[in-house]
Amino acid sequence: MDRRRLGTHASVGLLGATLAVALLSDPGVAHAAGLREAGASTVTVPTWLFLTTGGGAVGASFLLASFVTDRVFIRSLHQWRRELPSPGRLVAGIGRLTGVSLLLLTVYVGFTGPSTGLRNFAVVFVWVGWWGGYVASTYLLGNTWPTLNPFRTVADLFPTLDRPYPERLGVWPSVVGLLGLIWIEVITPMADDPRLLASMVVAYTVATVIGAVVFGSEVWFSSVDPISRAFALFGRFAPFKRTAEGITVRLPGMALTDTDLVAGRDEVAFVVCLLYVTTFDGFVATWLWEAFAVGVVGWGVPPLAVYLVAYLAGFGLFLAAFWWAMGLARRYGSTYITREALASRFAPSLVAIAVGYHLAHNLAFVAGLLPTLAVVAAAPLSPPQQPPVLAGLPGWVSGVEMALVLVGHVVAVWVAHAAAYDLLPGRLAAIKSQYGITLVMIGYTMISLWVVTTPLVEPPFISGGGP
Amino acid sequence: MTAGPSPETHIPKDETPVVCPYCGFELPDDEQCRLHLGLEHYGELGEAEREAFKRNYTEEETALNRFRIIALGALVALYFGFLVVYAILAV
Repeated sequence: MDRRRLGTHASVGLLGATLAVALLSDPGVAHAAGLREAGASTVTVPTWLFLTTGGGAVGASFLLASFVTDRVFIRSLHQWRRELPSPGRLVAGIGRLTGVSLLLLTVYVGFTGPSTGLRNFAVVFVWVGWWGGYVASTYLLGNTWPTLNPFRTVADLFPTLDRPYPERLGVWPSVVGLLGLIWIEVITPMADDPRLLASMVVAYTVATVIGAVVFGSEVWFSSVDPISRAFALFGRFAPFKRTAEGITVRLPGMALTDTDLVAGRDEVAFVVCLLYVTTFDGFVATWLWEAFAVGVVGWGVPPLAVYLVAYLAGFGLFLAAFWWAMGLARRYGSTYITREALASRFAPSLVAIAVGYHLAHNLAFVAGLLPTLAVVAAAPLSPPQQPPVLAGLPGWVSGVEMALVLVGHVVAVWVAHAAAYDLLPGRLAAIKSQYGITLVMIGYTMISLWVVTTPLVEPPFISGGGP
Repeated sequence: MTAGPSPETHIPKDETPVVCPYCGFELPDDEQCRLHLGLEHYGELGEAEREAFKRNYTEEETALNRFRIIALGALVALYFGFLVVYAILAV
C-alpha cells in the first residue's frame, strides 16, 4: 500500500513542479541569466530544463545520501569538534562599543547626511555592510551578534523590570516581528531613503529597548527580537561557536543536527518564516509578480492589499508544504512520533537553504557596492558626488550564485538525513521518512533558482523593493 | 539515536502500539521495536533479545540493499535522462 500511496504523492508533487515550471518559463527562450553573457562557451538552455536540473540535483543528493546508512559514521561527522581559547573581555567590550558607535553614526548620518541613497552612509552601511556582508558573516564564520548587538548594549544600561514573559506566546512574537520587518522593507522605500531608514532604526531601537527593559534582555533577545533569533539560527550553520569554555570549531552546517535547536510549532514556524521572507523579497522583483499584481490591481483591488494577501498566503503555503512533508514522514517512517516533534528535528535543515539563498541573493549586490561602502564610510559626512560602483561583474558570478543555492540545498538534504537517522530506529524507515521533505526541497530549489536568475524588475505600485 | 527524552508520540485511535519495556517509547510494530531495543538498550538486553535484534538488523540489510539498487537505478536514469535532454535541447 505504501508504494502506491507514495506513487500518488510523488506524482502530485511532480505534477505541481512541472506545472509551476511550465507557468514560470518564458515561452521558448531561456535565461541562465548572466551565465549566458559569460562568453561563447556557454549554452542556451530552456528555463524549464535549467530549473528541472536544479531540482534533479537535489533529488540526486537525497538518493546519494540514502547510501550512507552507517549510524556511527553519520554521528562522527556531526560530533567532530575542536576547541579554541575564548576571546577576552576586552575584545567583547570593543565589540559592544563598535556596535553602538555604528548605530549612532547610522542614525546621525541618516538624518543629516545627503538624501541620495547611494551617497548616504546609513543606507549603504545598513544594506550593504550589515544586511549583505555582516549577515553573511553570521553563517560563514560565527554569530557575533550577541556581543555586537547595539540594541542589547543600550538596553543593558537600564535596570530591568523583569516582568514575567507570557510563556504561552512562545516565540510567536518573533515570527510576527520578522514578517513585519520584511513587510516594511518590501513596501517602503527604506532601501533608498536615508531619513526613513534612520527613523525606522530609531523606532526599532526604542521598541527593542523598552521590550528588553520590561521583560529582561535574556528572554527578549531569545524569544521576541526577530533579528537576534534569525542570527542565532544562522550562527548554527557557522563553523565557529562561542561556548562557556571557549570557541568550538565544527564542520559547517553540522551544528544544525543538534537536537536542541528547534522545539515546538512556534520555533518551526520561525524557521519556515526565515526561509520564506528571503524568497518573497526576491519574488516581488520578478516579472511574474509584476504581471500578477498589475492584473489584480486592474480589477480594482488596492495594491497594498494585493501585496499583503499574497505575502501572508505565501507564508501559509510554505508552512502547509512543510507540514504536509511531516505527515509523509510520519507515514513512511513507520513511527508514532508526532508531526510537531518530527518538524522540530527536520526544520533546522531549512536553515541551510535560507543560508544558501541569502548568500546567492546578496553576493553580486555586495560585491558591486563594496567600493561605494568603502568610499562613503571613509567620509560619511561629506561623501563624493558619485561614489564608485563596481559595474559589470563577470558572468561567472551568477554561476556561483546558482551553485550557492544548490550547495545550501545539498547541506539541507544531509541535515534532514541525519535527523531521520537520529529519530527512527529503522534505517530503511529513516530513508523513507525523507520522501516528503525531499519533494518540498526540490520545490524550494526550483523556486529560488528561478527567482535568483530571473532578471530583476522594479516591484510595481510601491516605491520600495529593498536590495 | 541519542540518549535523551524520547520524542512525543501520537497513536491513531484504531491501532495498538508496541511499548518499549525500558523507556516506554511507543512503536508501531515488533520489527521497529526490536531495532529500537538494540540501538537504545543493548546493554540491558538478554541473550535472546540481542539475537532477535541482530536478526532484524540483518533482515533490514536485505531490504536496504533492494532500496539501494532502486536508488542507483534512479540516479542512472536521472543522469542519462538529463544527458539526453541536454543533448537534444542545448545546442
